[in-house]
Amino acid sequence: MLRLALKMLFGDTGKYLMLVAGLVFATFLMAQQTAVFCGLMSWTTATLKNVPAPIWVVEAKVEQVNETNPLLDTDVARVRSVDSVAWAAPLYSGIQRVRLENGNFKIVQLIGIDATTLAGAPVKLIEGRLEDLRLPHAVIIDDLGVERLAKERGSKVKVGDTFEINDQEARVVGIADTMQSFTGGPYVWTTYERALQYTPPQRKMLSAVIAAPRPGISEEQCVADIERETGLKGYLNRGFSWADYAAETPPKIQDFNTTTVAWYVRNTGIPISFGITVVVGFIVGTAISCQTFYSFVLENMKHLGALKAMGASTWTLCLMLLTQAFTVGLIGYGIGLFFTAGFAKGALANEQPPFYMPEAVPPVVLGVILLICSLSALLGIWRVSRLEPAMVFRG
Amino acid sequence: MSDTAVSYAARVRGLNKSFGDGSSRLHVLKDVDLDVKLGDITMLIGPSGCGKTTLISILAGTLKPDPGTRDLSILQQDLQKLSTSAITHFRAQNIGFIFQAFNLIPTLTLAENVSVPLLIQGVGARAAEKKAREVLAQVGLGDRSKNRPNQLSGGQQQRVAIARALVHEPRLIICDEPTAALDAKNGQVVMELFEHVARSPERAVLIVTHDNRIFPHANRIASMDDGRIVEVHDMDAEHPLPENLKHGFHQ
Repeated sequence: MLRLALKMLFGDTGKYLMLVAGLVFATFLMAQQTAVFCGLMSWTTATLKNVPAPIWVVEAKVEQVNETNPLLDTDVARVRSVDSVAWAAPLYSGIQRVRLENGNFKIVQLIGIDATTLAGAPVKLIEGRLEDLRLPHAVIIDDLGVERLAKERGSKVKVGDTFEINDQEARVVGIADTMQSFTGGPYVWTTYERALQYTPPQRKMLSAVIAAPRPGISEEQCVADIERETGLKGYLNRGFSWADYAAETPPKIQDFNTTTVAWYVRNTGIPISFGITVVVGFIVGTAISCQTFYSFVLENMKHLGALKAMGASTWTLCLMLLTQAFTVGLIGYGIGLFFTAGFAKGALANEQPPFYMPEAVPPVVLGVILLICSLSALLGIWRVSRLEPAMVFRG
Repeated sequence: MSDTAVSYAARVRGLNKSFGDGSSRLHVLKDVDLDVKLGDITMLIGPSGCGKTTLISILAGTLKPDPGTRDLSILQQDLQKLSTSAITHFRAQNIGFIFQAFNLIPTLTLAENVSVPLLIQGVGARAAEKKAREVLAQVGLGDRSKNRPNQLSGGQQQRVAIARALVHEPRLIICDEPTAALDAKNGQVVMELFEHVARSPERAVLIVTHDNRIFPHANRIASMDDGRIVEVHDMDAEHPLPENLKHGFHQ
């Protein structure tokens, strides 16, 4: 009987395509928008990924990595003096304007790292040598900068090319593979001292101190010691934790990625904007699916009545409707996810728009699609359960 | 096995059926007594609104009679004692249906349409379609089993409906106006075919009809009016179709 149910479904080509289209639309919108949102949120923590250090120490009121409340240069020494700290290095992080050879200006995310240890240098260099960062006017740019900082559209920046940051020369000595920044500007690494030269002077210039614990001491313990002895705020850099984010009481020692994402969720309209699109996907998918499926059931009512008269139980008919609803659901979900994968391929190749799909998204979207299908089937089941088999004789 | 059990496919005594409540209550069947014998083709005739459809709905187990009905035995089963699910199962096993509008599912092939009663019984799809093709051959449509209903004429569609009613070898076949949607010639062809393939000593056929041209195929004609059986004619070589029924049902 279930095979016949599917043949009845596929035989009504118009309604079948309409149902699938509605569910493809819902799947694509929910999965793609969620992934773009997650991608955007991951961009907010790009500096933490691109400047690898297990511990970040910042001013006491700082909640997220893109917010700089400068410290005194002497704070680096204060952190170093904590017993459980193995090493600590200064870090400058700020947005600066770059003047290209053709006179155009571009915004970049300037990172200044300790010249001696090069702690905080990019993890993966595509071209050049990290040590060359110690040469005069040397900078390392990221793969985005290769195109963004080029003299003209279509050309690429090469090692040895120059541009200006605040009227001072910057010479490219390396190209790194990085995650794109939330501001959209390329990352430019240089030494801490040179970063201060590139930046208009302020009384305090140190953005953060990056550090690591001594062997045998946990990162949490090290952060607690730093906070106790310096009065500064210490964060871990392990990656976003959903458990910590959703916890009623946040852990005493927090992860900077998690607090950064939480700050953006709390203080910007980004989640509401994406959330509304996801809800629209759900509502439109539900409306199209329910309306079309109900109309399909109504059109087949005389056949369902005949089946009931011939001895098919209400349960069998309900099972047929559920089979039809879940089949279009799975087909719509599959096609919708295929389109999302196509979008992802393009987004990841171009590195924008942001795209990051956590493992939980596809099963959650599948659950929502099956919920839509259940709602659609429920209307039909309600009609079928009230269907009197005798109606078939009444015409 | 008693004589009654052997002879009657349906036995009804004191059957009443009403719809609605209070002042809007409509008494549709009034103390109906009816016997449908195995081996016979029984026709139920009468003007529109006289209760024919309600009566066959109750005999088919698709509608419940009012409480107090003295006897409602179908193939030796008292339907009043069966639960709704047991009646549904009983219908699937024992009753074949032919509807006025054929009620073939347009998206299924003829073989699939005919196999439906077997699938409802739980027979496997392959075995059901094999049997369906055999029965389609009996009604002259063996070479069209892969066609769909909309590729057939009305008469051919009713032949498919006959095949569907016979495929699970039921002991009672209930037909609702089987020739109403057909022209005179096709109606006769379908009835002759139906009589040929459906008549059996182990089976009863109950037909509701307005079509007096098919009356000669009956062994028994029960006339209804205003919710009552008003006349029953048993017909054989010695008792041919009465004059008053040759030009229509009981006046």
